[in-house]
Amino acid sequence: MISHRLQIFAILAVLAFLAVLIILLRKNRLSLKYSLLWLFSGIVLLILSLFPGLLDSFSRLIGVYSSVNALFAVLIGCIILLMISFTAIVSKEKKEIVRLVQEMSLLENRLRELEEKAEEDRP
Amino acid sequence: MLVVNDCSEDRTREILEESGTDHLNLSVNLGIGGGVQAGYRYAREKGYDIAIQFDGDGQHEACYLPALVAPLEAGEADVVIGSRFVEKEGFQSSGARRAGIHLLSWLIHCLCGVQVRDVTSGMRAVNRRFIGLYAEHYAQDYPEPEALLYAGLRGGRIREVPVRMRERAHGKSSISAIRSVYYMVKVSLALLLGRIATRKEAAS
Repeated sequence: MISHRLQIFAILAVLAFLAVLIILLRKNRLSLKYSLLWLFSGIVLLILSLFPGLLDSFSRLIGVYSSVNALFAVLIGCIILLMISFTAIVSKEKKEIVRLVQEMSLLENRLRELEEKAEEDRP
Repeated sequence: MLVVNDCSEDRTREILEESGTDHLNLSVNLGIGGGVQAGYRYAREKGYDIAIQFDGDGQHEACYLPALVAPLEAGEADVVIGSRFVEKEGFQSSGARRAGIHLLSWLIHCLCGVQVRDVTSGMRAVNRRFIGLYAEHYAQDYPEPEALLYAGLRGGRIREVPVRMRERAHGKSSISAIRSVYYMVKVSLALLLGRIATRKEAAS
């Protein structure tokens, strides 16, 4: 069991977190695609803090004595998931940058070729 | 001939422009993998039948190029490696480095059945099929062994021809003493992951 005090604090904290997320989304500072995991984590944590009974059964299920530790475990799970997604995003971005730089160099090369040709063709 | 200028800070760009040498200027430093791949994309765009990879630091000698492309022209191979270790002549690199190369060679042999001795050699020639494949997919950080494994997994016929190499005349190896351990670990891991990520094709 978690104390009522902790439960109220957890609910308020998660609500504040979701509020910040939604404000940033509305201001277009975050793109929805990359915020889905954050939203998902927030909602999972909100459900767990609204219904601490779920957390108790979950901690019994995975063999954790204290519900608060189970809460930490869920939180860490969310963070790991987010970090993996960041690595995936960075990798994709890196690939795209490489491709763009290569394409740009090819275009520059073609431009130079055309300029030289135009120079030669000039009467 | 095409020179890839990967953000050189010396007068490379000026010299290339003054001499009218065909070249690509990469606007962000991509490292050897991204640079070589840019060359393969150029070769694909031009529709070349054969592309040769050649280091610009004086290690490679142009007199071996006919021998390098001969198996491609005869249609006997898809990828040809210029190898220091076939006839064991010329600059052979240090003992520790050779041991590392042999280990990688063995690993590649285990992973795709291709037997190449000089897996880190940057002197290579490939045919049209592999110009296209490398233009789409080329390893980024220390690419030579990985590119070889990829060729082996995609059913490429790989041939080694003997060449001599010199000690590099200019510049430093991208692999210093301390980093060589990192190099071995990184490349071995990359090879294992590459084997998992690439579906094996039968030799053509």
